[in-house]
Amino acid sequence: MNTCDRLKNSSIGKKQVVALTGLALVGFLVSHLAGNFLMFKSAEAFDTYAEFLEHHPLIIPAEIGLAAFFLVHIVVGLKVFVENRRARPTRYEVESSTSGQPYAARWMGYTGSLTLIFLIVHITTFKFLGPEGEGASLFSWVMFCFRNPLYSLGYVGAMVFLAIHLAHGIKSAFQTLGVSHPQLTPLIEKGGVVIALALTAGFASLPIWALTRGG
Amino acid sequence: MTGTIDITLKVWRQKDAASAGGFETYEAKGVSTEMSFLEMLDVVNEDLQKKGRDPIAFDHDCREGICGMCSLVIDGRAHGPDGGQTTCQLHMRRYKNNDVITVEPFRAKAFPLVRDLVVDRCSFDSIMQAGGYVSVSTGQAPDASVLLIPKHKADSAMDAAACIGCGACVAACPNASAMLFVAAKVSQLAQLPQGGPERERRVLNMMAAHDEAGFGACSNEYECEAVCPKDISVSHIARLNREYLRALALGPGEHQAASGAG
Ligand code: FES
Repeated sequence: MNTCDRLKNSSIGKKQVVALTGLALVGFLVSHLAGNFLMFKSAEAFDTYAEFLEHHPLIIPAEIGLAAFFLVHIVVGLKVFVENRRARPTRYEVESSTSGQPYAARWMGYTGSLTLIFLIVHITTFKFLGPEGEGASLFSWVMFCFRNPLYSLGYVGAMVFLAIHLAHGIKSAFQTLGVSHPQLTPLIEKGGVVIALALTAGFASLPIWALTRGG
Repeated sequence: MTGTIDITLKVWRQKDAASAGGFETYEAKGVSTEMSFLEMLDVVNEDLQKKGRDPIAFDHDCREGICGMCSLVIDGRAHGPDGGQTTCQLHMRRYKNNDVITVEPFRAKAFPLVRDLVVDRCSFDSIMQAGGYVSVSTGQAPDASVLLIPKHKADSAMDAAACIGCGACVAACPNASAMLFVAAKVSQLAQLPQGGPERERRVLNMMAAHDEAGFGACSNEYECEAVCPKDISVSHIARLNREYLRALALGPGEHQAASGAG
């Protein structure tokens, strides 16, 4: 076995791949949210930004790279999740938790899968549907979608699942990559939860804003 | 406080790996609170034998918390309700009159059930054989001050070395992962100069044996640390992860490449 095989096949290797791609995806979410916040500024600002991204020469390679990160994170993550179920074929009669840790860790596969469903709906709506061509405003299309209470409810719900996913995921990634420090680790553990909540609250603020803004 | 209590035991009984198992209920009357949990099981077994029934099979040896042979998941918790101790150190004074206690074997694919509460933990031996040792030339004992080890490293290695290999970490882990066990062994040797020569291939080979045995992957839920009778910290798992990354970057070393192991 060489290093590549170990990353692909060993239990630690797979987790380290999931941890690295996961942290990279959190980085993506930060930049995505920053772009979204332009909606609060003005329709023009948001549309200009969208236009700029769409016509950027590097947008295709960037999208392919991003898709690859998502794909690796999802495929390897689900693989670990399924293998972990198999490692205990018989369950305990009395199930208990001694560590006092929230169950977010145990639900990673589920919260991740729900986020994936959201991701598919999300990309379909905002990338492949909606108005095309000259003068088409992404801002108006987003507002149109968000004013549908059902759509917004689904969006906010997905953010709750994502928050649970990231609340464990961020701090867990650091442990998996070997970061353990008497002062730093407690900070990372709290910081991970704060970032998870801040990010998802940021995303959820847009549909809520659209719904309550009226007009 | 001394005294006696009556308890009800719900115990997992299974003839062998091939047969189906199930819980059986036993009433234990007049149990002395001075008894250890295992002594209580001894008394229950004597009673069963008098009635011509099969005694409950369970593992034990030293009965003083040092050998790692006793096991059991008691009311959902490996080694019973209190942290930092083994089942053999648990005493009946911990229980009240009329308590119902559920006793199950350690459950993991890599710990196949042998009989009743006894599971086969040989997979831990396979992991140790894969690299849980240092190779030293025999000969005269070296001078005590030849190998300088900083105090904080010696302390941390000693903390890791406290692992008795009981397998409670596996029993408690939602993924039946043995990462805390492997972490203790790898962390102990990685911090000492004696562990240096085999450092990279040790972690790679021990983890390969871990995965091969069918243990799951760590999902950082720290259930292992919470039940570990020797209070081994999950910071050793972080060190194991670090050692693994390091070995991935450096490769296993020539010796192992030549023998084709791992
Ligand atoms: S019997 Fe030896 S540790 Fe419990």
